[in-house]
Amino acid sequence: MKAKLISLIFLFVITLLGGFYRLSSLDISPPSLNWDEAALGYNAYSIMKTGKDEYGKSFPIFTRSFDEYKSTLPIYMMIPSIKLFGLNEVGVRFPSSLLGTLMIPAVYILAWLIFQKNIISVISAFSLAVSPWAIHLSQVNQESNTALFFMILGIILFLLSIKKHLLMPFSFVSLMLSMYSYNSQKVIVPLTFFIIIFLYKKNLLKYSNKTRLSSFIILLLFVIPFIWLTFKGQTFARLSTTNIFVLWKSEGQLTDISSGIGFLDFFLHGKFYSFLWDLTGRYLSYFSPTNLFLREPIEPVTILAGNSIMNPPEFIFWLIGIISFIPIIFKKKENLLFSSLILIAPIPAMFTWNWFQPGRTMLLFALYSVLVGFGVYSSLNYIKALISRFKPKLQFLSYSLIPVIFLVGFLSSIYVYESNLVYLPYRDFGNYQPGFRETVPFVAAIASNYDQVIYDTPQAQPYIFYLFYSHYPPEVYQRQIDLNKIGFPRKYSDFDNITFRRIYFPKDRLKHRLLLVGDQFSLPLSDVENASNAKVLQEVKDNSGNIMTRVVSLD
Amino acid sequence: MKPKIIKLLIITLTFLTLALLTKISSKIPVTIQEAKESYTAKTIISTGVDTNSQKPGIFFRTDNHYIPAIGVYSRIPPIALFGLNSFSIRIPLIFFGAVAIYLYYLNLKISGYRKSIIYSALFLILFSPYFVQTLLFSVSLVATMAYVLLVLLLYQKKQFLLLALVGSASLLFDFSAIVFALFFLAISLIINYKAKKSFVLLLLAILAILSPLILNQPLRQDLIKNSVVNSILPQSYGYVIGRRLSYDLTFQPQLPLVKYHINRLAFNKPFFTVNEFSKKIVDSFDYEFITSALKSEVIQGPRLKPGISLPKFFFWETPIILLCFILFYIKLPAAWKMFFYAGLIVLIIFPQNYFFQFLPLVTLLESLAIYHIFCRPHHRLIIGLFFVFLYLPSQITQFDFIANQPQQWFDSTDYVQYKIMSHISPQEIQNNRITITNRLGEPVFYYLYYHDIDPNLFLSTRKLGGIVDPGLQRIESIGNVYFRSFQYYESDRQKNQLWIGQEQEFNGPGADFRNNKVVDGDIVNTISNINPPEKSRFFGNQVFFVKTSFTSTKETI
Repeated sequence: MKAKLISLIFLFVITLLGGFYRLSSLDISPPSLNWDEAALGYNAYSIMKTGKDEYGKSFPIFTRSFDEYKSTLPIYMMIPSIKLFGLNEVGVRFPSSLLGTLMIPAVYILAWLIFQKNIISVISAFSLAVSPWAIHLSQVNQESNTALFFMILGIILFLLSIKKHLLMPFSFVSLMLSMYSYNSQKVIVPLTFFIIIFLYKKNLLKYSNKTRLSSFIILLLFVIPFIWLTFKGQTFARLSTTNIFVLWKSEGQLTDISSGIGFLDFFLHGKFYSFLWDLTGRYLSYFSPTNLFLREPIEPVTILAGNSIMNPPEFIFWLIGIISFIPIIFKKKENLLFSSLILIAPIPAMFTWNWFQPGRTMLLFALYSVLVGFGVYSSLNYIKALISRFKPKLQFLSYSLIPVIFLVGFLSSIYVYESNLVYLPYRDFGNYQPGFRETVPFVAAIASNYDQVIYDTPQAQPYIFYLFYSHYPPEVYQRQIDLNKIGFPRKYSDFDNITFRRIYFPKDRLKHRLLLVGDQFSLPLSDVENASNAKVLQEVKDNSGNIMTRVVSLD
Repeated sequence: MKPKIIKLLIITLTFLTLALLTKISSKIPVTIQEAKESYTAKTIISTGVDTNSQKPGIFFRTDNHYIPAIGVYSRIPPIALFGLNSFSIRIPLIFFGAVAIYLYYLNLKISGYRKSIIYSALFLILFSPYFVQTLLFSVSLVATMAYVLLVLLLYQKKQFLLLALVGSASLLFDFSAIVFALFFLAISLIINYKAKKSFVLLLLAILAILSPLILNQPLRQDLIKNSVVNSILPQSYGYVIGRRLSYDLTFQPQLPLVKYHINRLAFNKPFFTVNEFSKKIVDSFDYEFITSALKSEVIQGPRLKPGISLPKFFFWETPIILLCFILFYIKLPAAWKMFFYAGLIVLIIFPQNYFFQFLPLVTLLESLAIYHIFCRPHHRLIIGLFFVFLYLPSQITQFDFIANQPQQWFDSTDYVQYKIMSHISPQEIQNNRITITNRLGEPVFYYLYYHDIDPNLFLSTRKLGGIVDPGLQRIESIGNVYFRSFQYYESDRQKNQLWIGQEQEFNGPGADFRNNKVVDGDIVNTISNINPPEKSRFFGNQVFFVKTSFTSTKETI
């Protein structure tokens, strides 16, 4: 009882620490919103104001956004936050970061349900609280973070339901919410159901008919619209651009040499083998220590400057955790469930063209935190056994490992925090579509004074940033948008008097009552100064003093 | 099949494979290590002294690091017989490869394994991608494998006198052999501490290894430079701490911690030591690099890893190896477990490069797994399918890469140097002054090797430059040939000189690369797509050969 109380106190402190790292700097880092955040935020704002998304669909399940049909659960969760904090970085990021904080006690409970050891639960929670991926991605990857939270909650509720059967329907709701939240979960959740049914079939038979029926009805309620939307091309829309089969054509570069054995080339020298290598390589990359502890990921939004996915000192416990866990996999169902989840977690990611995309396998990393906890526990046991060989009385010395772990973990966490607050905004501000936050409110305030505003930017999807940062009234935008004109996939983003295109100053300067938004290349200062009707209204510079945007008025 | 026939088959297979590899390797440019070892051997043959005019001993110094003596001595006979060429310098690979296989066989036999396990282990190691690739280039690594297997064999045979003698000889081999022998002998010492005679012998052997390392400061420093210790010394990351702290000053974020300087907690030497050490250990376990180097490198971009980037294990082997390890490690004899621990320490001290010494253990574990599965008749079909659909395509793909597509995997530095040297004619060397950049790696030994420079001429005309490390000195020039980076247009140019460097080294007033003109000279030759090392990436992706003329560019200017 005393140990339980101490571990709960630890959990409380760890959760406070993790919460501080996640919630204290949402407006500073990352320094601006990426396009997915802007889209989620503006659609939440739009639904809050009008009950419709940017395309005018009432309370959608998936919203079209950039034609990839985003999940809307994170959007609905943003509404109270935007109401509270306004349509800004904090309003958008707060719900996900809060879920990221709640994930700390959730992982604690999950570790407890699997291993029933306080020390494993506490270390697992601590590992998650200070892991670079958990801190950073909870701030920027709203969809996958929401999905992860509901996934873990669903598993916890299911494991608890073995003793309290009534919790099963809630577990199913949580798992289904997870499935609706993020693309990877659309594969992982069904697989999880199969695993649960396979492992716990005998337990499930003991549940009352009422419980089973209600769970089944919940399942149907969620699955039917899911299938219906699949046929409408919404559920798996994202897959069309991210699937691994786009690599199929390039395989020839490595293997287009004939072995001279005729048709045998098909088996022995061909694309199939190389493609299998591609798939396996991707799958294994999520278990690669270098990717997990050493190297920064390459996907821009997933990079926390100066950090890998987890803290390097965790590696040794992660490894010991794996080695110690394998022999006990078959000892109980919880272990089998845990290992099965680890094995299925990278499956959706291996079918995408990215070699290593941490945003798609956050479940795996959360489970790795539990593995680190188990690794610490196993290490303590090994050390204890070693000491007891020589001096059994000195066994207690093994516990000196725990303060060392907490000290190194705490130092690591400050390093991560500093990376998040100082290093990332300094080094990687370019990954977050910089310039809109400073420019758009200025432009929006004076746009009505001009016949046309031309916005020239190298960033993709600039219209959503304009809508977001100008707090453009959704009901007005919905009236202006012409679905036939924008086409599918979307080719046209102009609205009101805002046009998104390249500026060619020698030609554009001849026009009047025009507002040009560009940069130092599209609007060279010497050219602007030479034009009698042109005037620079605003310049926004990056950290190095380079001009990111220049606003020029043509009278 | 009768055991004798199987034995004969294995011997034939071994020699056929080795011969095939020698044939393939003769087409492939030499590595810097090979060039250094081979030319040192040639110098000893011709002059009786090494490239530093010292009598041959147990260490050889080159311009910027030590090279293992075994790579030099083993090449003396073939180079004396056949001259300095890729065939003669790679003959020792056959010898050491065969010896390693034989010692592996003896070790397995003395460990009491069944013949089927022994033969499958031999087969697996012989055709392992790692073994095959190492057999193409690295005499010292293959010799070191033979050495560690010999140490293991002597321990298994309980021949402690020989073990002590052989242990002391580790200094002739690669650094990894020194560390392996030290720890293997130390573990043996602890286990056999009750047997006085063997205890004394092993202790003497350990002292014999340690004393040159303690007494010879340059050698010790070179050992440290190549080990993990170098990365965790405070001076290695002191600048990183300063740099990270400086962001606070330049960027001035709204960071509450800065105000109280608490962020010093995250930027201090003890924490960085723990962090860097952890990172180095992780580096040893980069199985993604050793199984999918080609794929991940193509997709993830440059990995800043030196050396040859062919996968060392087949991509499907990793989970199998891990499982084999977990399932069968416990059943290994004590000697093999000692082998594992000593190898693990080597791997931690010298991350990445020395996983090779684990190969015998890995193939043993794999063959134990195959035997285990093969004992169950209904599983034989699975193994058969596995062999046909994974093992065979893997081998064919591997040999395809090795033999037909060296540009996909070969170390770009070695390849560029080979190209540079093949574009320099002997007449040019004799008549004109040549300056070769060292931004693409030190070119000295490539030059000496490819142009087969007379060692007497080398020793009499070389000029030594700055000290790289204690005891190691750069070679600035040999006769008319200079090795240094340069700013061409600011250099002291004379007529009819040949300047070889990256394109940006020739940038300056009057440079017109499209018309092959630079100030006072013409671009007479170009090597494109050189994929330079990271530090030289800004200097361009082409090598220019510029002949100073003092006529054409004046017109351009």
